[in-house]
Amino acid sequence: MSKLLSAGFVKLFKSTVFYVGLAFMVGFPAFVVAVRFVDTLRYPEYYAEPLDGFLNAGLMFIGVVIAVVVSLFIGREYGDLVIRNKLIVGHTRADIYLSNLIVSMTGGIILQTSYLVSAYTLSRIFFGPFTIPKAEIIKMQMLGVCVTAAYSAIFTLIAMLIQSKSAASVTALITAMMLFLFGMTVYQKLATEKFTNNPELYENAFIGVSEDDNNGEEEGYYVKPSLTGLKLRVYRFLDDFLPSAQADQISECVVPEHWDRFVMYDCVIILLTTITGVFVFRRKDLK
Amino acid sequence: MDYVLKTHNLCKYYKNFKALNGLTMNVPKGSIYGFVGKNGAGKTTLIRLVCGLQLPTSGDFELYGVRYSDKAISKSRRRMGAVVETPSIYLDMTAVDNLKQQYRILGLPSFDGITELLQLVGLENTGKKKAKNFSLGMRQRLGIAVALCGNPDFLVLDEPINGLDPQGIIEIRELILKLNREQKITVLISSHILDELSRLATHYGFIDSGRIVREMSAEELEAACRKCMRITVTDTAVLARVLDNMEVNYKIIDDKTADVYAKPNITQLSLALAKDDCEVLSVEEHDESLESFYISLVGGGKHE
Repeated sequence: MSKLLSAGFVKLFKSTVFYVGLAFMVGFPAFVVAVRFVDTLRYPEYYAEPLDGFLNAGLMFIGVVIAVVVSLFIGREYGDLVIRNKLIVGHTRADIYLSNLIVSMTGGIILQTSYLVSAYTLSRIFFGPFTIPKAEIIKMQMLGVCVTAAYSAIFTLIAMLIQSKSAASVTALITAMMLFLFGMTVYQKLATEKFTNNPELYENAFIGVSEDDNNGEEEGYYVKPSLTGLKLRVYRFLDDFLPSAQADQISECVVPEHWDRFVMYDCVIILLTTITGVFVFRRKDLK
Repeated sequence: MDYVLKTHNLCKYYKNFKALNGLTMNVPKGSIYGFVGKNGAGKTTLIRLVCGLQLPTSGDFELYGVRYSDKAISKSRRRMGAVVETPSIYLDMTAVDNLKQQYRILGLPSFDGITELLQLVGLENTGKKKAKNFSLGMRQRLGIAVALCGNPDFLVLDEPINGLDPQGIIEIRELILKLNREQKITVLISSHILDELSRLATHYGFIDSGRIVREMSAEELEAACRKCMRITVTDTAVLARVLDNMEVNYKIIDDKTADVYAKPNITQLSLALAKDDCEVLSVEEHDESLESFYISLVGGGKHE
Protein backbone atom coordinates (compact mmCIF):
# COMPACT_ATOMS: atom_id res chain seq x y z
CA MET A 1 0.00 0.00 0.00
CA SER A 2 2.99 2.31 0.50
CA LYS A 3 3.31 2.52 -3.29
CA LEU A 4 -0.30 3.62 -3.62
CA LEU A 5 0.12 6.14 -0.82
CA SER A 6 3.23 7.57 -2.45
CA ALA A 7 1.40 7.93 -5.78
CA GLY A 8 -1.69 9.29 -4.01
CA PHE A 9 0.16 12.00 -2.10
CA VAL A 10 2.05 13.14 -5.19
CA LYS A 11 -1.29 13.39 -6.98
CA LEU A 12 -2.86 15.28 -4.06
CA PHE A 13 -0.07 17.84 -3.95
CA LYS A 14 -0.35 18.35 -7.70
CA SER A 15 -4.12 18.60 -7.56
CA THR A 16 -5.65 21.94 -8.55
CA VAL A 17 -8.84 21.29 -6.60
CA PHE A 18 -6.80 20.74 -3.42
CA TYR A 19 -5.04 24.08 -3.83
CA VAL A 20 -8.33 25.85 -4.56
CA GLY A 21 -9.67 24.38 -1.30
CA LEU A 22 -6.50 25.43 0.51
CA ALA A 23 -6.74 28.97 -0.87
CA PHE A 24 -10.33 29.17 0.36
CA MET A 25 -9.50 27.85 3.83
CA VAL A 26 -6.61 30.30 4.19
CA GLY A 27 -8.30 33.17 2.38
CA PHE A 28 -11.63 33.09 4.18
CA PRO A 29 -10.21 33.95 7.64
CA ALA A 30 -7.99 36.58 6.02
CA PHE A 31 -11.06 38.16 4.44
CA VAL A 32 -13.06 38.09 7.70
CA VAL A 33 -10.16 39.51 9.71
CA ALA A 34 -9.70 42.28 7.14
CA VAL A 35 -13.39 43.23 7.26
CA ARG A 36 -13.39 43.10 11.05
CA PHE A 37 -10.25 45.19 11.19
CA VAL A 38 -11.84 47.90 9.04
CA ASP A 39 -14.87 47.84 11.39
CA THR A 40 -12.52 48.14 14.36
CA LEU A 41 -10.92 51.22 12.88
CA ARG A 42 -14.38 52.78 12.44
CA TYR A 43 -15.99 51.65 15.69
CA PRO A 44 -13.23 50.68 18.15
CA GLU A 45 -15.68 50.64 21.05
CA TYR A 46 -17.61 47.73 19.56
CA TYR A 47 -15.08 45.57 17.74
CA ALA A 48 -11.62 45.92 19.33
CA GLU A 49 -11.57 42.59 21.13
CA PRO A 50 -9.96 39.15 20.49
CA LEU A 51 -11.67 37.03 17.83
CA ASP A 52 -12.17 33.98 20.05
CA GLY A 53 -15.47 32.96 18.49
CA PHE A 54 -13.95 32.96 15.01
CA LEU A 55 -11.17 30.46 15.70
CA ASN A 56 -13.10 27.27 14.93
CA ALA A 57 -15.72 28.72 12.60
CA GLY A 58 -14.02 26.92 9.71
CA LEU A 59 -15.43 23.64 11.00
CA MET A 60 -18.91 24.88 10.11
CA PHE A 61 -18.19 24.60 6.38
CA ILE A 62 -15.27 22.14 6.31
CA GLY A 63 -17.78 19.40 5.38
CA VAL A 64 -18.76 21.18 2.17
CA VAL A 65 -15.11 21.92 1.28
CA ILE A 66 -14.06 18.30 1.88
CA ALA A 67 -17.07 17.03 -0.11
CA VAL A 68 -15.96 19.03 -3.14
CA VAL A 69 -12.24 18.30 -2.83
CA VAL A 70 -12.52 14.57 -2.07
CA SER A 71 -15.20 13.82 -4.65
CA LEU A 72 -13.31 15.62 -7.41
CA PHE A 73 -9.95 14.22 -6.33
CA ILE A 74 -11.11 10.60 -6.20
CA GLY A 75 -13.65 11.12 -8.99
CA ARG A 76 -10.76 11.92 -11.30
CA GLU A 77 -9.54 8.36 -10.88
CA TYR A 78 -12.77 7.23 -12.50
CA GLY A 79 -13.00 10.16 -14.92
CA ASP A 80 -9.55 9.53 -16.38
CA LEU A 81 -10.03 5.74 -15.87
CA VAL A 82 -6.65 5.59 -14.12
CA ILE A 83 -8.05 3.47 -11.28
CA ARG A 84 -7.67 0.59 -13.75
CA ASN A 85 -3.90 1.06 -13.81
CA LYS A 86 -3.77 0.17 -10.12
CA LEU A 87 -5.95 -2.92 -10.45
CA ILE A 88 -4.28 -4.23 -13.61
CA VAL A 89 -0.85 -4.30 -11.96
CA GLY A 90 -2.19 -6.28 -9.03
CA HIS A 91 -3.04 -3.87 -6.21
CA THR A 92 -5.93 -5.18 -4.13
CA ARG A 93 -9.18 -3.29 -3.98
CA ALA A 94 -8.90 -2.95 -0.21
CA ASP A 95 -5.49 -1.32 -0.59
CA ILE A 96 -6.80 1.04 -3.26
CA TYR A 97 -9.74 2.05 -1.07
CA LEU A 98 -7.67 2.49 2.08
CA SER A 99 -4.93 4.46 0.34
CA ASN A 100 -7.52 6.84 -1.11
CA LEU A 101 -9.08 7.18 2.35
CA ILE A 102 -5.76 7.99 3.99
CA VAL A 103 -4.82 10.52 1.31
CA SER A 104 -8.28 12.14 1.52
CA MET A 105 -8.13 12.32 5.32
CA THR A 106 -4.68 13.86 5.22
CA GLY A 107 -5.83 16.40 2.64
CA GLY A 108 -8.89 17.22 4.74
CA ILE A 109 -6.84 17.67 7.91
CA ILE A 110 -4.40 19.95 6.06
CA LEU A 111 -7.33 22.07 4.87
CA GLN A 112 -8.89 22.25 8.33
CA THR A 113 -5.57 23.02 10.02
CA SER A 114 -4.75 25.68 7.44
CA TYR A 115 -7.94 27.51 8.44
CA LEU A 116 -6.96 27.41 12.10
CA VAL A 117 -3.41 28.58 11.42
CA SER A 118 -4.62 31.41 9.19
CA ALA A 119 -7.37 32.47 11.61
CA TYR A 120 -5.11 32.20 14.66
CA THR A 121 -2.17 34.06 13.14
CA LEU A 122 -4.14 36.91 11.58
CA SER A 123 -6.45 37.37 14.57
CA ARG A 124 -3.49 37.51 16.91
CA ILE A 125 -1.67 40.02 14.74
CA PHE A 126 -4.64 42.36 14.38
CA PHE A 127 -6.66 41.76 17.56
CA GLY A 128 -4.15 40.53 20.11
CA PRO A 129 -3.94 37.27 22.06
CA PHE A 130 -6.95 35.00 22.48
CA THR A 131 -8.68 34.68 25.82
CA ILE A 132 -9.05 30.90 25.33
CA PRO A 133 -6.21 28.92 26.94
CA LYS A 134 -3.82 27.36 24.45
CA ALA A 135 -4.44 23.89 25.86
CA GLU A 136 -8.13 24.24 25.00
CA ILE A 137 -7.32 25.51 21.52
CA ILE A 138 -5.17 22.42 20.95
CA LYS A 139 -7.86 20.15 22.37
CA MET A 140 -10.50 21.68 20.09
CA GLN A 141 -8.15 21.34 17.14
CA MET A 142 -7.77 17.65 17.90
CA LEU A 143 -11.56 17.34 17.98
CA GLY A 144 -11.66 19.24 14.68
CA VAL A 145 -9.24 16.70 13.22
CA CYS A 146 -11.60 13.90 14.28
CA VAL A 147 -14.59 15.65 12.69
CA THR A 148 -12.58 16.23 9.50
CA ALA A 149 -11.49 12.58 9.39
CA ALA A 150 -15.11 11.47 9.77
CA TYR A 151 -16.22 13.77 6.95
CA SER A 152 -13.37 12.48 4.76
CA ALA A 153 -14.44 8.88 5.40
CA ILE A 154 -18.04 9.66 4.42
CA PHE A 155 -17.07 11.41 1.19
CA THR A 156 -14.45 8.81 0.31
CA LEU A 157 -17.21 6.20 0.54
CA ILE A 158 -19.40 8.21 -1.83
CA ALA A 159 -16.58 8.95 -4.29
CA MET A 160 -15.32 5.37 -4.36
CA LEU A 161 -18.70 3.79 -4.91
CA ILE A 162 -20.05 6.13 -7.57
CA GLN A 163 -18.13 5.69 -10.81
CA SER A 164 -19.26 8.96 -12.38
CA LYS A 165 -17.17 11.91 -11.26
CA SER A 166 -19.99 14.42 -11.68
CA ALA A 167 -22.59 12.20 -10.00
CA ALA A 168 -20.20 11.59 -7.09
CA SER A 169 -19.54 15.32 -6.71
CA VAL A 170 -23.23 16.20 -6.74
CA THR A 171 -24.07 13.41 -4.27
CA ALA A 172 -21.23 14.41 -1.95
CA LEU A 173 -22.24 18.06 -2.07
CA ILE A 174 -25.90 17.28 -1.38
CA THR A 175 -24.85 14.99 1.49
CA ALA A 176 -22.64 17.73 2.94
CA MET A 177 -25.45 20.28 2.71
CA MET A 178 -27.93 17.86 4.26
CA LEU A 179 -25.53 17.08 7.09
CA PHE A 180 -24.93 20.78 7.59
CA LEU A 181 -28.63 21.64 7.71
CA PHE A 182 -29.52 18.59 9.79
CA GLY A 183 -26.70 19.31 12.25
CA MET A 184 -27.75 22.94 12.48
CA THR A 185 -31.38 21.97 13.09
CA VAL A 186 -30.42 19.54 15.85
CA TYR A 187 -28.07 22.07 17.39
CA GLN A 188 -30.67 24.84 17.37
CA LYS A 189 -33.47 22.62 18.67
CA LEU A 190 -31.30 21.62 21.58
CA ALA A 191 -30.25 25.22 22.16
CA THR A 192 -33.95 26.14 22.39
CA GLU A 193 -34.51 23.16 24.67
CA LYS A 194 -31.78 24.49 26.97
CA PHE A 195 -33.73 27.74 27.30
CA THR A 196 -37.12 26.17 27.79
CA ASN A 197 -35.84 23.88 30.50
CA ASN A 198 -33.98 26.63 32.28
CA PRO A 199 -36.27 29.46 33.55
CA GLU A 200 -33.30 31.54 34.60
CA LEU A 201 -32.21 31.73 31.00
CA TYR A 202 -35.52 32.26 29.27
CA GLU A 203 -36.94 34.77 31.76
CA ASN A 204 -34.40 37.30 30.60
CA ALA A 205 -33.94 36.05 27.09
CA PHE A 206 -37.51 36.03 25.85
CA ILE A 207 -38.93 39.25 27.11
CA GLY A 208 -41.81 40.29 24.88
CA VAL A 209 -41.99 37.10 22.87
CA SER A 210 -45.32 35.91 24.19
CA GLU A 211 -47.00 39.32 24.52
CA ASP A 212 -49.54 38.52 21.77
CA ASP A 213 -51.36 35.81 23.62
CA ASN A 214 -50.66 36.47 27.30
CA ASN A 215 -50.98 40.21 27.87
CA GLY A 216 -47.44 40.51 29.07
CA GLU A 217 -47.96 38.41 32.16
CA GLU A 218 -45.05 36.49 33.64
CA GLU A 219 -46.47 33.05 32.72
CA GLY A 220 -46.80 34.21 29.15
CA TYR A 221 -43.06 33.96 28.69
CA TYR A 222 -43.05 30.27 29.25
CA VAL A 223 -42.28 28.31 26.10
CA LYS A 224 -43.40 24.70 26.26
CA PRO A 225 -40.43 22.32 25.71
CA SER A 226 -40.76 20.74 22.29
CA LEU A 227 -38.20 18.03 23.00
CA THR A 228 -38.93 15.55 25.73
CA GLY A 229 -38.42 11.88 26.48
CA LEU A 230 -37.14 9.68 23.66
CA LYS A 231 -37.21 12.53 21.15
CA LEU A 232 -34.91 14.57 23.36
CA ARG A 233 -32.54 11.62 23.79
CA VAL A 234 -32.41 11.07 20.03
CA TYR A 235 -31.65 14.74 19.44
CA ARG A 236 -28.91 14.68 22.07
CA PHE A 237 -27.43 11.56 20.49
CA LEU A 238 -27.49 13.15 17.04
CA ASP A 239 -25.92 16.30 18.44
CA ASP A 240 -22.97 14.26 19.63
CA PHE A 241 -22.95 11.81 16.70
CA LEU A 242 -23.27 13.92 13.55
CA PRO A 243 -19.98 15.47 12.44
CA SER A 244 -21.86 18.62 11.42
CA ALA A 245 -23.48 18.95 14.88
CA GLN A 246 -20.10 18.27 16.50
CA ALA A 247 -18.62 21.02 14.33
CA ASP A 248 -21.36 23.43 15.45
CA GLN A 249 -20.52 22.74 19.09
CA ILE A 250 -16.75 23.04 18.63
CA SER A 251 -17.17 26.27 16.68
CA GLU A 252 -18.51 27.87 19.89
CA CYS A 253 -14.85 27.79 20.96
CA VAL A 254 -15.59 25.98 24.19
CA VAL A 255 -14.44 22.40 24.68
CA PRO A 256 -17.75 20.47 24.45
CA GLU A 257 -19.00 18.67 27.53
CA HIS A 258 -19.08 15.30 25.72
CA TRP A 259 -15.88 15.67 23.76
CA ASP A 260 -14.90 12.06 24.49
CA ARG A 261 -18.12 10.87 22.84
CA PHE A 262 -17.24 12.95 19.78
CA VAL A 263 -14.00 11.03 19.37
CA MET A 264 -15.75 7.71 19.87
CA TYR A 265 -18.56 8.49 17.41
CA ASP A 266 -16.11 9.79 14.80
CA CYS A 267 -14.18 6.52 15.09
CA VAL A 268 -17.47 4.62 14.67
CA ILE A 269 -18.32 6.65 11.54
CA ILE A 270 -14.86 6.05 10.07
CA LEU A 271 -15.00 2.33 10.82
CA LEU A 272 -18.54 1.84 9.51
CA THR A 273 -18.01 3.78 6.28
CA THR A 274 -14.66 2.11 5.64
CA ILE A 275 -15.90 -1.43 6.25
CA THR A 276 -18.95 -0.77 4.06
CA GLY A 277 -16.83 0.92 1.40
CA VAL A 278 -14.22 -1.83 1.19
CA PHE A 279 -16.91 -4.53 1.21
CA VAL A 280 -18.91 -2.98 -1.64
CA PHE A 281 -15.86 -1.80 -3.62
CA ARG A 282 -14.38 -5.31 -3.60
CA ARG A 283 -17.45 -6.63 -5.36
CA LYS A 284 -18.03 -3.70 -7.65
CA ASP A 285 -17.87 -4.14 -11.41
CA LEU A 286 -15.60 -1.47 -12.80
CA LYS A 287 -15.62 -0.35 -16.42
CA MET B 1 2.96 -25.43 -25.05
CA ASP B 2 3.19 -22.72 -22.38
CA TYR B 3 0.16 -20.55 -21.93
CA VAL B 4 0.05 -17.07 -20.45
CA LEU B 5 -3.71 -17.04 -20.08
CA LYS B 6 -6.09 -19.97 -19.84
CA THR B 7 -9.79 -19.59 -19.24
CA HIS B 8 -12.17 -22.42 -18.49
CA ASN B 9 -15.91 -22.19 -18.89
CA LEU B 10 -15.87 -18.54 -17.91
CA CYS B 11 -19.25 -16.87 -17.39
CA LYS B 12 -20.19 -13.30 -16.65
CA TYR B 13 -23.81 -12.27 -16.27
CA TYR B 14 -25.16 -8.76 -15.96
CA LYS B 15 -28.58 -9.35 -14.45
CA ASN B 16 -30.18 -11.52 -17.15
CA PHE B 17 -27.68 -10.75 -19.89
CA LYS B 18 -24.99 -13.36 -20.46
CA ALA B 19 -21.94 -11.40 -21.60
CA LEU B 20 -19.71 -14.47 -21.33
CA ASN B 21 -21.31 -17.86 -21.56
CA GLY B 22 -18.81 -20.62 -20.85
CA LEU B 23 -15.79 -19.12 -22.60
CA THR B 24 -12.73 -21.34 -22.86
CA MET B 25 -9.58 -20.04 -24.51
CA ASN B 26 -5.80 -20.36 -24.30
CA VAL B 27 -3.28 -17.65 -25.11
CA PRO B 28 0.12 -19.21 -25.97
CA LYS B 29 3.25 -17.59 -24.63
CA GLY B 30 4.98 -15.36 -27.19
CA SER B 31 1.96 -15.11 -29.45
CA ILE B 32 -0.08 -12.21 -30.74
CA TYR B 33 -3.52 -13.53 -30.00
CA GLY B 34 -6.20 -11.89 -32.09
CA PHE B 35 -9.48 -11.92 -30.25
CA VAL B 36 -12.12 -11.55 -32.92
CA GLY B 37 -15.80 -10.88 -32.48
CA LYS B 38 -18.53 -8.43 -33.29
CA ASN B 39 -19.63 -5.66 -30.93
CA GLY B 40 -21.28 -7.12 -27.86
CA ALA B 41 -19.74 -10.57 -28.40
CA GLY B 42 -17.97 -10.38 -25.02
CA LYS B 43 -14.43 -9.30 -25.95
CA THR B 44 -14.21 -6.36 -23.57
CA THR B 45 -15.96 -8.29 -20.80
CA LEU B 46 -13.30 -11.00 -20.96
CA ILE B 47 -10.55 -8.37 -20.88
CA ARG B 48 -12.17 -6.67 -17.87
CA LEU B 49 -12.18 -10.00 -16.03
CA VAL B 50 -8.57 -10.74 -16.92
CA CYS B 51 -7.54 -7.27 -15.75
CA GLY B 52 -9.35 -7.66 -12.43
CA LEU B 53 -11.85 -4.89 -13.11
CA GLN B 54 -14.71 -7.34 -12.70
CA LEU B 55 -15.20 -10.78 -11.20
CA PRO B 56 -16.56 -13.75 -13.14
CA THR B 57 -20.01 -15.05 -12.25
CA SER B 58 -18.67 -18.59 -12.64
CA GLY B 59 -15.84 -20.45 -14.30
CA ASP B 60 -12.17 -19.96 -13.90
CA PHE B 61 -9.10 -18.43 -15.45
CA GLU B 62 -5.39 -18.68 -14.88
CA LEU B 63 -2.76 -16.06 -15.49
CA TYR B 64 0.72 -17.57 -15.65
CA GLY B 65 -0.69 -20.68 -14.05
CA VAL B 66 -2.21 -18.83 -11.09
CA ARG B 67 -5.96 -19.01 -10.56
CA TYR B 68 -7.71 -15.65 -10.44
CA SER B 69 -9.03 -16.33 -6.95
CA ASP B 70 -5.57 -17.09 -5.50
CA LYS B 71 -3.77 -14.40 -3.57
CA ALA B 72 -0.74 -14.86 -5.80
CA ILE B 73 -2.73 -13.45 -8.73
CA SER B 74 -1.46 -10.00 -7.67
CA LYS B 75 2.08 -11.10 -8.54
CA SER B 76 0.95 -12.52 -11.88
CA ARG B 77 -0.84 -9.27 -12.67
CA ARG B 78 2.39 -7.37 -12.12
CA ARG B 79 3.63 -9.12 -15.25
CA MET B 80 0.88 -7.68 -17.39
CA GLY B 81 -0.08 -4.33 -18.81
CA ALA B 82 -3.35 -3.38 -20.46
CA VAL B 83 -5.22 -0.73 -22.37
CA VAL B 84 -8.92 -1.40 -21.94
CA GLU B 85 -11.12 0.44 -24.46
CA THR B 86 -9.81 3.98 -23.94
CA PRO B 87 -6.33 4.69 -22.55
CA SER B 88 -6.13 5.20 -18.78
CA ILE B 89 -4.07 8.36 -18.46
CA TYR B 90 -4.19 11.55 -16.42
CA LEU B 91 -5.37 14.10 -18.94
CA ASP B 92 -3.93 17.09 -17.10
CA MET B 93 -0.47 15.58 -16.83
CA THR B 94 2.34 15.45 -19.38
CA ALA B 95 3.43 12.15 -20.91
CA VAL B 96 6.45 12.03 -18.59
CA ASP B 97 4.34 12.74 -15.48
CA ASN B 98 1.88 10.02 -16.47
CA LEU B 99 4.68 7.49 -16.69
CA LYS B 100 6.21 8.69 -13.41
CA GLN B 101 2.85 8.24 -11.72
CA GLN B 102 2.63 4.67 -13.03
CA TYR B 103 6.19 4.02 -11.84
CA ARG B 104 5.13 5.14 -8.36
CA ILE B 105 2.06 2.87 -8.45
CA LEU B 106 4.37 0.00 -9.37
CA GLY B 107 6.81 1.04 -6.66
CA LEU B 108 9.77 1.19 -9.03
CA PRO B 109 12.83 2.62 -7.30
CA SER B 110 13.79 5.09 -10.02
CA PHE B 111 12.40 6.70 -13.14
CA ASP B 112 14.99 5.01 -15.35
CA GLY B 113 13.56 3.86 -18.64
CA ILE B 114 10.94 6.56 -19.07
CA THR B 115 12.81 8.25 -21.92
CA GLU B 116 13.22 4.91 -23.69
CA LEU B 117 9.54 4.11 -23.24
CA LEU B 118 8.54 7.45 -24.72
CA GLN B 119 10.92 6.87 -27.63
CA LEU B 120 9.44 3.43 -28.16
CA VAL B 121 5.95 4.86 -28.57
CA GLY B 122 7.14 7.96 -30.40
CA LEU B 123 6.19 10.51 -27.76
CA GLU B 124 9.67 11.66 -26.78
CA ASN B 125 9.12 15.18 -28.12
CA THR B 126 5.85 16.05 -26.38
CA GLY B 127 7.60 18.15 -23.72
CA LYS B 128 5.19 19.99 -21.43
CA LYS B 129 2.15 19.30 -23.56
CA LYS B 130 -0.59 17.82 -21.44
CA ALA B 131 -2.31 14.59 -22.42
CA LYS B 132 -5.65 16.39 -22.86
CA ASN B 133 -4.09 18.20 -25.83
CA PHE B 134 -2.84 14.97 -27.44
CA SER B 135 -4.44 13.49 -30.54
CA LEU B 136 -6.34 10.21 -30.16
CA GLY B 137 -3.39 8.28 -31.58
CA MET B 138 -0.95 9.96 -29.18
CA ARG B 139 -3.21 9.15 -26.23
CA GLN B 140 -3.45 5.55 -27.39
CA ARG B 141 0.34 5.34 -27.61
CA LEU B 142 0.70 6.96 -24.19
CA GLY B 143 -1.78 4.40 -22.84
CA ILE B 144 0.40 1.64 -24.26
CA ALA B 145 3.50 3.27 -22.74
CA VAL B 146 1.77 3.34 -19.33
CA ALA B 147 0.86 -0.33 -19.82
CA LEU B 148 4.50 -1.08 -20.62
CA CYS B 149 5.83 0.45 -17.39
CA GLY B 150 7.52 -2.22 -15.30
CA ASN B 151 8.43 -4.30 -18.37
CA PRO B 152 5.39 -6.59 -18.51
CA ASP B 153 5.58 -9.71 -20.61
CA PHE B 154 1.87 -9.86 -21.33
CA LEU B 155 0.11 -6.94 -22.98
CA VAL B 156 -3.67 -6.77 -23.32
CA LEU B 157 -5.02 -4.32 -25.87
CA ASP B 158 -8.73 -3.80 -26.32
CA GLU B 159 -9.60 -2.30 -29.71
CA PRO B 160 -6.33 -0.33 -29.86
CA ILE B 161 -6.92 1.05 -33.35
CA ASN B 162 -10.49 2.22 -32.90
CA GLY B 163 -10.85 5.77 -34.13
CA LEU B 164 -7.28 6.08 -35.37
CA ASP B 165 -6.36 7.53 -38.75
CA PRO B 166 -4.47 5.30 -41.25
CA GLN B 167 -1.10 6.66 -40.11
CA GLY B 168 -2.01 5.98 -36.48
CA ILE B 169 -3.12 2.45 -37.32
CA ILE B 170 0.21 1.73 -39.02
CA GLU B 171 2.14 3.15 -36.04
CA ILE B 172 0.26 1.05 -33.52
CA ARG B 173 0.66 -2.05 -35.69
CA GLU B 174 4.40 -1.51 -36.04
CA LEU B 175 4.68 -0.93 -32.30
CA ILE B 176 2.84 -4.15 -31.44
CA LEU B 177 4.96 -6.17 -33.85
CA LYS B 178 8.13 -4.59 -32.46
CA LEU B 179 7.13 -5.39 -28.87
CA ASN B 180 6.31 -8.95 -29.77
CA ARG B 181 9.39 -9.63 -31.87
CA GLU B 182 12.04 -7.67 -30.01
CA GLN B 183 10.84 -7.89 -26.42
CA LYS B 184 9.03 -11.21 -26.71
CA ILE B 185 5.89 -9.73 -25.21
CA THR B 186 2.77 -11.85 -25.54
CA VAL B 187 -0.09 -9.71 -26.83
CA LEU B 188 -3.82 -10.29 -26.51
CA ILE B 189 -5.47 -7.91 -28.93
CA SER B 190 -9.18 -7.64 -29.42
CA SER B 191 -10.66 -6.14 -32.53
CA HIS B 192 -13.46 -6.40 -34.97
CA ILE B 193 -11.30 -4.93 -37.76
CA LEU B 194 -10.34 -8.29 -39.20
CA ASP B 195 -8.10 -7.07 -41.98
CA GLU B 196 -5.91 -5.26 -39.47
CA LEU B 197 -5.76 -8.25 -37.14
CA SER B 198 -4.72 -10.51 -39.99
CA ARG B 199 -1.54 -8.44 -40.38
CA LEU B 200 -0.57 -9.02 -36.77
CA ALA B 201 -1.96 -12.11 -35.17
CA THR B 202 -0.16 -15.42 -34.82
CA HIS B 203 -3.17 -17.01 -33.17
CA TYR B 204 -6.87 -16.34 -33.31
CA GLY B 205 -9.83 -16.82 -31.04
CA PHE B 206 -13.25 -16.24 -32.59
CA ILE B 207 -15.89 -15.25 -30.07
CA ASP B 208 -19.62 -15.10 -30.53
CA SER B 209 -22.36 -14.64 -27.93
CA GLY B 210 -19.89 -15.02 -25.09
CA ARG B 211 -18.30 -18.26 -26.34
CA ILE B 212 -15.18 -19.10 -28.29
CA VAL B 213 -16.42 -20.70 -31.50
CA ARG B 214 -12.97 -21.52 -32.88
CA GLU B 215 -9.35 -21.16 -31.80
CA MET B 216 -6.65 -21.55 -34.41
CA SER B 217 -3.17 -20.52 -35.41
CA ALA B 218 -2.47 -18.05 -38.20
CA GLU B 219 -1.18 -20.95 -40.34
CA GLU B 220 -4.41 -22.85 -39.89
CA LEU B 221 -6.38 -19.80 -40.74
CA GLU B 222 -4.27 -19.16 -43.80
CA ALA B 223 -4.90 -22.67 -44.95
CA ALA B 224 -8.59 -22.22 -44.39
CA CYS B 225 -8.67 -18.94 -46.24
CA ARG B 226 -6.09 -19.44 -48.95
CA LYS B 227 -6.82 -18.67 -52.55
CA CYS B 228 -8.01 -21.58 -54.65
CA MET B 229 -9.81 -22.52 -57.80
CA ARG B 230 -13.24 -23.94 -57.29
CA ILE B 231 -13.84 -26.53 -59.99
CA THR B 232 -17.17 -28.13 -60.72
CA VAL B 233 -16.96 -31.43 -62.57
CA THR B 234 -19.27 -34.35 -63.27
CA ASP B 235 -17.24 -36.71 -61.04
CA THR B 236 -14.89 -35.55 -58.29
CA ALA B 237 -13.48 -39.07 -57.84
CA VAL B 238 -11.91 -38.79 -61.28
CA LEU B 239 -10.79 -35.25 -60.52
CA ALA B 240 -9.10 -36.42 -57.32
CA ARG B 241 -7.20 -39.11 -59.19
CA VAL B 242 -6.03 -36.67 -61.86
CA LEU B 243 -5.01 -34.05 -59.31
CA ASP B 244 -3.09 -36.66 -57.31
CA ASN B 245 -1.17 -37.52 -60.47
CA MET B 246 -0.45 -33.82 -61.00
CA GLU B 247 0.70 -33.52 -57.33
CA VAL B 248 -1.63 -30.64 -56.63
CA ASN B 249 -3.28 -29.88 -53.26
CA TYR B 250 -7.07 -29.95 -53.29
CA LYS B 251 -10.12 -30.39 -51.13
CA ILE B 252 -13.26 -32.22 -52.21
CA ILE B 253 -16.33 -30.22 -51.26
CA ASP B 254 -18.99 -32.61 -52.61
CA ASP B 255 -19.36 -35.14 -55.43
CA LYS B 256 -19.22 -32.39 -58.05
CA THR B 257 -17.14 -29.61 -56.49
CA ALA B 258 -13.56 -29.35 -55.30
CA ASP B 259 -11.18 -26.57 -54.28
CA VAL B 260 -7.79 -26.76 -55.94
CA TYR B 261 -4.95 -24.91 -54.19
CA ALA B 262 -2.86 -24.24 -57.25
CA LYS B 263 -3.22 -22.94 -60.80
CA PRO B 264 -2.97 -26.04 -62.98
CA ASN B 265 -3.03 -25.79 -66.76
CA ILE B 266 -6.73 -25.92 -67.46
CA THR B 267 -6.34 -27.48 -70.93
CA GLN B 268 -4.15 -30.29 -69.59
CA LEU B 269 -6.52 -30.83 -66.69
CA SER B 270 -9.56 -30.91 -68.98
CA LEU B 271 -7.88 -33.36 -71.36
CA ALA B 272 -6.87 -35.62 -68.47
CA LEU B 273 -10.39 -35.59 -67.10
CA ALA B 274 -11.93 -36.16 -70.52
CA LYS B 275 -9.94 -39.41 -70.83
CA ASP B 276 -12.02 -40.77 -67.91
CA ASP B 277 -15.29 -39.28 -69.18
CA CYS B 278 -15.31 -36.51 -66.69
CA GLU B 279 -16.43 -33.06 -67.86
CA VAL B 280 -15.38 -29.71 -66.48
CA LEU B 281 -18.56 -27.75 -65.84
CA SER B 282 -17.08 -24.56 -64.42
CA VAL B 283 -13.89 -23.07 -63.02
CA GLU B 284 -13.81 -19.98 -60.84
CA GLU B 285 -11.28 -18.35 -58.60
CA HIS B 286 -12.30 -18.70 -54.98
CA ASP B 287 -10.82 -16.56 -52.24
CA GLU B 288 -12.14 -16.89 -48.72
CA SER B 289 -11.15 -13.83 -46.76
CA LEU B 290 -10.80 -13.71 -42.99
CA GLU B 291 -14.03 -11.81 -43.04
CA SER B 292 -15.96 -14.50 -44.90
CA PHE B 293 -14.31 -17.16 -42.78
CA TYR B 294 -15.48 -15.31 -39.68
CA ILE B 295 -18.99 -14.98 -41.06
CA SER B 296 -19.02 -18.67 -41.86
CA LEU B 297 -18.05 -19.37 -38.26
CA VAL B 298 -20.45 -17.10 -36.44
CA GLY B 299 -23.16 -16.82 -39.05
CA GLY B 300 -24.35 -13.64 -40.67
CA GLY B 301 -27.07 -12.92 -38.17
CA LYS B 302 -28.11 -9.56 -36.90
CA HIS B 303 -25.39 -7.21 -35.78
CA GLU B 304 -25.92 -6.16 -32.16
